[in-house]
Amino acid sequence: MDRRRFLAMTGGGAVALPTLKGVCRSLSPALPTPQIPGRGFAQTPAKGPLKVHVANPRYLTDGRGQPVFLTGSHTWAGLQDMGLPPLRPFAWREFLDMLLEHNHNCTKLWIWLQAEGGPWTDDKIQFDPLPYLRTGPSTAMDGKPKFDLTQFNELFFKRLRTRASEAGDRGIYVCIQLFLPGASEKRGGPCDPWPGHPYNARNNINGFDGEKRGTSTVDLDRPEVRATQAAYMRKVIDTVSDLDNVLFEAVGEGGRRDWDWWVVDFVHGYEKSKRKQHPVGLTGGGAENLAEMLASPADWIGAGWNDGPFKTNPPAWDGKKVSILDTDHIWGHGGTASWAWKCFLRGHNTWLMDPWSPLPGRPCGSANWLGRPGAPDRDVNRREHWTWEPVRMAMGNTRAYALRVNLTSMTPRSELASTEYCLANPPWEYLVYLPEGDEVTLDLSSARGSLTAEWMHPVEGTMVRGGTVTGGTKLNFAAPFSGAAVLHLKNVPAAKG
Amino acid sequence: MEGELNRRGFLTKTVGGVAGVVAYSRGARAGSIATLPQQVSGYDPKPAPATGPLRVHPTNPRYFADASGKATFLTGAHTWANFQDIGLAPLQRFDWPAYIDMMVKHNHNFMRFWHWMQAAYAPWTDEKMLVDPLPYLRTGPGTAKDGLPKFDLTKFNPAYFERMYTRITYARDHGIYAAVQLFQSFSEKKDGAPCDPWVAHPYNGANNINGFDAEKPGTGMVDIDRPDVREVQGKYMQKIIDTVQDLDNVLYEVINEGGNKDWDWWVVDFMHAQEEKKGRVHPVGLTGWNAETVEEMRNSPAEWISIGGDAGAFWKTDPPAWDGKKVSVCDTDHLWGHGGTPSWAWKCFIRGHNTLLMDSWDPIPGRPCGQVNWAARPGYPTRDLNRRDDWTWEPVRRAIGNTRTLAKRVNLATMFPHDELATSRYCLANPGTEYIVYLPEGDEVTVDLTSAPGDFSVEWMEPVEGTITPGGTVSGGGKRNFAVPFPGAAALYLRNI
Repeated sequence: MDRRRFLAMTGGGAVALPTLKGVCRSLSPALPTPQIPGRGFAQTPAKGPLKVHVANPRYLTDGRGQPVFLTGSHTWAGLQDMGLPPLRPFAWREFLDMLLEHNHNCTKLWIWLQAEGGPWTDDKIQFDPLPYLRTGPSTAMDGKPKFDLTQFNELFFKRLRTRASEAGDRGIYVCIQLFLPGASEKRGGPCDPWPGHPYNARNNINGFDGEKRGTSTVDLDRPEVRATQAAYMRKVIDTVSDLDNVLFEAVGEGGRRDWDWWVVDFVHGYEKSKRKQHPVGLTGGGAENLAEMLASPADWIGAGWNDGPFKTNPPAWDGKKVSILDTDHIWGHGGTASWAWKCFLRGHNTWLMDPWSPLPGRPCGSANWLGRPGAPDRDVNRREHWTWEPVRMAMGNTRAYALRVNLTSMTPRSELASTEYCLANPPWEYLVYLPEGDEVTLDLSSARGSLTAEWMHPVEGTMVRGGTVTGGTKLNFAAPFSGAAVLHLKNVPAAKG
Repeated sequence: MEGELNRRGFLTKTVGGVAGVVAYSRGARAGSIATLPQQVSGYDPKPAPATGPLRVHPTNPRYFADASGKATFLTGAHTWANFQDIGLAPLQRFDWPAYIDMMVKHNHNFMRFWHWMQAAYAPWTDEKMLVDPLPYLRTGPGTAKDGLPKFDLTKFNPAYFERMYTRITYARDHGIYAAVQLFQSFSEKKDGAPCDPWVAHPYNGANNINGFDAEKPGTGMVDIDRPDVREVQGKYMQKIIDTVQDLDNVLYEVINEGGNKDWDWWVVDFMHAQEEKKGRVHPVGLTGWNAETVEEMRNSPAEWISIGGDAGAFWKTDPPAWDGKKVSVCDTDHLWGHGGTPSWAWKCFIRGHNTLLMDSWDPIPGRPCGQVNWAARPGYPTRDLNRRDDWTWEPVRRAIGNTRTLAKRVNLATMFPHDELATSRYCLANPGTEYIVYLPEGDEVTVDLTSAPGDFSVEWMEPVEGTITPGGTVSGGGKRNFAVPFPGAAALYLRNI
């Protein structure tokens, strides 16, 4: 989670809150029941483990030849129940159903190490189950038995495996977040979860004090800390290493370059002894910048809000690493349908930080899911807010096309379209995004013969056939409906004889 | 536009071989657009009469000033039959009051007042399109090529000039300015156009009793370099001046997409000189897709200009911030021909341009004899923009009306384009006092209020629907990130309290 964005202060702030009763609702588009063309694809179990695709390293592959475009929603409570007591169990199956209904194929399983508290709230939100057993003797700062860091909580790891397996059976890949230094410790946020952290000396029976003195953060340089973390990672890996549908996010939004890379190397090294090796990733918005992540030993990365114009104009990706962009690291709470399409056409995979289950707790500072200048009654921390469904649907629609095109040969070719959003395999196939609709000029100079044209509404997923066109030149295409549009052109094989 | 003839954005040559329609579903969102109310919320049902004559505003020459000296943003829809009736026999009378009513309800205040010189035919059709009334009386003796009496170029047709005066007066009384088109290049044969109206032109030697043949030999076009031609044209212009010179709401347009630099400037100078003699000078304009470059038009003696599509496709998608060397009126006619988007309307307004929509309110008549840009296009083989109810138009009509709503609320004399103040790069502002920001894709925008102390009221407008959403207040003194309280494109209005 992007702590800096997550807890973004509003600066000057909105000081007056005029009545906006019903205004936002009245402006929400009446989206139809999701009808994602890709829903027709059978949801077979996810194959793997995923590896970087050799021919098109912008994507991972399940070993069957074709790249696997990853996209999907994830939410904070996907693995551990979290909230104010009494804790309510997260409706995991319902969440999986939502992913399938939206044609998503990837989610994240968040791991929170702290027993309670979060950097965004001074409410005593709780997390359950936790990786370590609380055996006592004596009580931790939250009044419950202290942790024994030598004993893992099998309930936690059983849930981890069960959920990963259930997702895999439905064709969904899961990215397991190993560490969340930005969310389980005090790192810039106004509130402090360190009193609930098992590595706090007052919370475990092992005399283990993992704190970097006076910071409420884990001291990542100390060998004994790394030894404890290594034991935890081994347990996570042992739990899921035989599953095909697993990825690891070594460190959500980074601890520090040296430690981040150690985590990646550790996972790689430990999995060498296993039958299956899974991709390991690093995500931005934390201590590492994009160039460092690109130079890292990670298999995939997710650029952060401070790495460039990834919200509005994500750069064409060269595939030096697989890129999985996550709205979490770019907005925190946010995202647009246009972003999903732009990322896809520029060679990125995508994740939506989805408040399907809201982030719990009353914010102790100005959080970026609350009031903002211009939107003083903004509350995007709920699944039904109008922000989210268009993004969920758009991502599913991108996957529908990812499954239809020959993704192995599709690369970002911004120069071919006047809108500069074009994923193409000239002269055979072109996928173009028009952020503002209207028309686009496409360079089909290298395309010979006829191509079928097809339009998709990027959110609604409505398909409109566009007849055939003849290549060999630049052509100007007019969108047959208003607003943003997606154009797909595919070469028509010449008739035999 | 690639693939077009240089026919001023009006005619397109056959492109790419649109080869067939396969189960086309008409406009995915057409239904929702069609249900838009045919008016904008901010319109004045009884607008005050237009005052003038307009003068270039002394401190903000991007705009004209009305009789009171107030900067006046011009915008509106114009259509080919809004002066003379045009069409196949029997000619239908254009419903002028209904058209004005549409403009009023859409908050429009400006039109081009179209002029056709030919009695019949047009470059885009081989059907016998008729035009009535015409400037010259058809007295005979003898018959012209269309079978009706020949013209007498020494006798003007009172019905033509009476209608001109009556309609412009009516427009004035409804708060609407009218740019009287003096000449029309589509009354002659156009380069590359398959059809030829010269046969019915009054300056064709076979069609008048005066022995006057204005044709540049073999071209089907008026030889505008000949002194005797200019003498005839001068008399015609003088008659127009005599007719409407006393009206406050008049502007002049030299020619629709034609002429050459020397002749264009001669017409401008002629109009200026003759009107100065009468003590009331109205603005004269040059429009694009003619023989002049942008720089030539900017250096001309005209008061206003309209850039043509030949100046670059970016005029459709990213019109540059205007410096006010001339008043700029961006007209979809010269950019698309048939086309336009709400986003274009907002971008033009924010960048300091006035706007006009070439509106198929009354369709352009005649079966096209070549590929025309309102018909089929690659990817859209059943396209038909040549009707008022096509989904393209109503959003643009409304958007331009909404821009005027805001233009009337701000102190336009002090508002200049300030791209650098907004991350969306669309900002019209009087820094420290008021700002209008456009967000083409919505979501959020950062506005630099560093040099703006104090508090600002925040207000959002949905660019097409015109719905206003109050956004509270915000303090200046820094960069502020504003979140849009509804989906899609948005306009933000900040005003110092």
